[in-house]
Amino acid sequence: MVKEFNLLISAVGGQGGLTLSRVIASAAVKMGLKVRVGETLGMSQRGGAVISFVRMGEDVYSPLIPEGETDVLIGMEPIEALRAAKYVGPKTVAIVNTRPIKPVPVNLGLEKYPPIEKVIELLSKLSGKVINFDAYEVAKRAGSTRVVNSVMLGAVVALKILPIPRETILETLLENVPKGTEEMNEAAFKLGEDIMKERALV
Amino acid sequence: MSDDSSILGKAGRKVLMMGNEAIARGAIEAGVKVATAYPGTPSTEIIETLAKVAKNLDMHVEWAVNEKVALEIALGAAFSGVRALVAMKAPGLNVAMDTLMSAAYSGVNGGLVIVVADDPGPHTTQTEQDNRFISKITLLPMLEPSDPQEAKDIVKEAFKISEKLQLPVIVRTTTRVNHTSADVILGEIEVVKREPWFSKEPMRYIRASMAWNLARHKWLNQQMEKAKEIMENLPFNKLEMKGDEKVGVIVSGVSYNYLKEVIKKYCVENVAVLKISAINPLPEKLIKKLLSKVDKVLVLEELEPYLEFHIKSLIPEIGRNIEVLGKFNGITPREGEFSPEIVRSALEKLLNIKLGNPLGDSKEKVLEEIKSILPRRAPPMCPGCPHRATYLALKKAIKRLGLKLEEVSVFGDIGCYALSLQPPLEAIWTEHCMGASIGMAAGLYFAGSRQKAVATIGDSTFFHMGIQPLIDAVQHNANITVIVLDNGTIAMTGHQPHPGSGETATGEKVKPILIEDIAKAVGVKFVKVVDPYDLKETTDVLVEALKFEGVSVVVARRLCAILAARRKLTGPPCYVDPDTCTGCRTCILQLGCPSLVWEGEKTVIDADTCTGCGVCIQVCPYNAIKMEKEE
Repeated sequence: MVKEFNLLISAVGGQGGLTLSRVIASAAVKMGLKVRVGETLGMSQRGGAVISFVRMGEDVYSPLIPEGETDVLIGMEPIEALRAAKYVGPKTVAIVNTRPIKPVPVNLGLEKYPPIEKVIELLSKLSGKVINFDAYEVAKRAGSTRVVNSVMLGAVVALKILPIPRETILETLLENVPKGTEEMNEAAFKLGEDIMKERALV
Repeated sequence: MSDDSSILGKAGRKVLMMGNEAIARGAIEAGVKVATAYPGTPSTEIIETLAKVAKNLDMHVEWAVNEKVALEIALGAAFSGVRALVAMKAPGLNVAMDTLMSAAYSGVNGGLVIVVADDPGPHTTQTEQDNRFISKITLLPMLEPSDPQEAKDIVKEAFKISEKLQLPVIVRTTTRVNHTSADVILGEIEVVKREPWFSKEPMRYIRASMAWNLARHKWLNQQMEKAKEIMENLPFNKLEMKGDEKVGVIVSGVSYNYLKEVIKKYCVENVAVLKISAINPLPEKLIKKLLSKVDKVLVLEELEPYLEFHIKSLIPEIGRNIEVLGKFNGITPREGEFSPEIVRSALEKLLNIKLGNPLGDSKEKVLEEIKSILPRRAPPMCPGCPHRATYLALKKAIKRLGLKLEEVSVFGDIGCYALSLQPPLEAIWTEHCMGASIGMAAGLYFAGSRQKAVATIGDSTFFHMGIQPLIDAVQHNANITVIVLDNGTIAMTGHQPHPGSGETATGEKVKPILIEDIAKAVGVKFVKVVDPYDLKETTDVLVEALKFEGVSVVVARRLCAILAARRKLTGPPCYVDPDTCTGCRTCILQLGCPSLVWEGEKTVIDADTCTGCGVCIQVCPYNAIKMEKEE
């Protein structure tokens, strides 16, 4: 049995980050793994920053990932991926959606949104590996930007680093998405997988 | 997180559950008959989970109008012999305190469990109130779980303790237990069949006789003496000690998990550990058992030194000096929540060794750089939020009256609309506690300030605690304007119904109670209802209201944009005609709607998030924003 596997999802409220954490954690329970999920749910629907910690394995007790100990970072938005920086380290594989969602103070001209290249550069200094692509573009091909979370999940699964088989994850994903959207989510998941294949990462 | 089937699942099944769902399952396993709360993060999902299965279980589940009423409903049920649960966030207990104090003197017949969810962090609460001390004020038993499995099991056990002692039992949780999900093994669902009957016992239930009160105070203390034995043997206290350790840790709550993880990761040995779940009365014998063996003890508890204070008081009985590491010597912080890092660092000080530091200097440097370029992302008001339009109309009304913004004090209240504190609206001046806006606005008027006072309060907050101060303001003829932001729901906590919503927690349709009817009934002479999406009408009415001498009430009514979207009531998205847009940015600078995105030269509307409310159309000076895309 796996000792410790730490997955971090960093997203903007409304992007489906919480659905992702539920899917992965439920799939882990199906596999008989010990699971801890820590998240801040307070204002998760409201476009604030949302971080979910999904931890699996027999040595896991804390709902928070110890700093630097993340195995996989799913960055649903560039600066949100960067916000999770203290949790990433040499063993981290970070998968980052490059499509920005500008916070209101940026639109108001009170703060600046950093260039995406800078975001990736800084994250690469801390994270073992950084893979980035425009997941919104991929999600649109599946039918809607709403399934961007399924795209990201497919991409992670393609890398074959999660301690859960692909079929279990896909099955659990389809159990957890709104009725009637299963087909679109499955398509998004597969397009996410394809991206990694195209990049010859798998 | 789990579906109905796992909430009602068979004993022995292992399911993924959030702490709050586990608490709900604990209530189900204990055969609870009445469960109630006023929504409040991080406690909301307890009642939300029970509401979904209430009908299957013949359980009365409701969103009460406030925490005091919620506790009274649960208490009345517990008087009759059935089991009842009430849940609340930390400040909710302040509202319910009056009832709770007397409930300790009357006691209960059926088990009564009060779950109170504290919020070290704080993540979503106005203070970091440490409610463990409430157990000492009320003289009531209190338990604290460290993870979702314990949360379920402790709630179930709390009902038994409550009936054994005939006392309400408080289960105190923190956000990191309420909102952590974990694999939980389900237990047996007890079938508790009782005929509810309330027997008249004046001495227990009437607090008008001082002689009876004195007698009940003595009874309460006697019961708490009996509680000591129960708490000493509570299976959730865990002493892990070989007997030859020279140092020890006493820990409670979520910190126990951080400790276990650090101990395992760094192969720490020869540390005795006592995890305490009995918060009141504390298991003194267990504590002394550990103290008698060690020279040095670290106390790990979030917020105030509640355990540490008690532990120190026991040291003289040991008869030798034992060094205590905790809050009093600054080893752990009194503010904010703990983390594996804080616990590791405290453990290092206990053991006088370094347990490794994954943060190298170079990482520190990169993190500094990241911090310097990272824009904040505080939760904004949602796209299409009607409250945004109401506050903009208020600012416009103030300006139209020839007043400066600083000449009109805008008192705020608890709810989504408090997010109006952010730029560009920067509307509210205060946000303290439920219903405070109206009383404070009246207070400013009675102080004789020449500033006009406006209270802005949400619909549910008005029902919760806004009606009494409105009555006060009318009785004393305060010259204030009260704006009730009525979005038809308790939006902040995830859209629970309130008395104005026309339905109950379990989905029964009921007649909505209208805020304007209440205002008229208590004697407000100026009462008007507006649609905030109509910026001009809302501004006109607010101008009138501000000019009115006396209490004026304006109900700004428009369904919450999230609910409207779910009910498919939102329009097509708006769009900006790039040829007409001059790039003046008025729309963004006035509204700050997240769907209005500044693309360097012009505004672009994000069609994925725009709800088509059309307020920005009314704001654009050049008519560059349109409702539907022309073919």
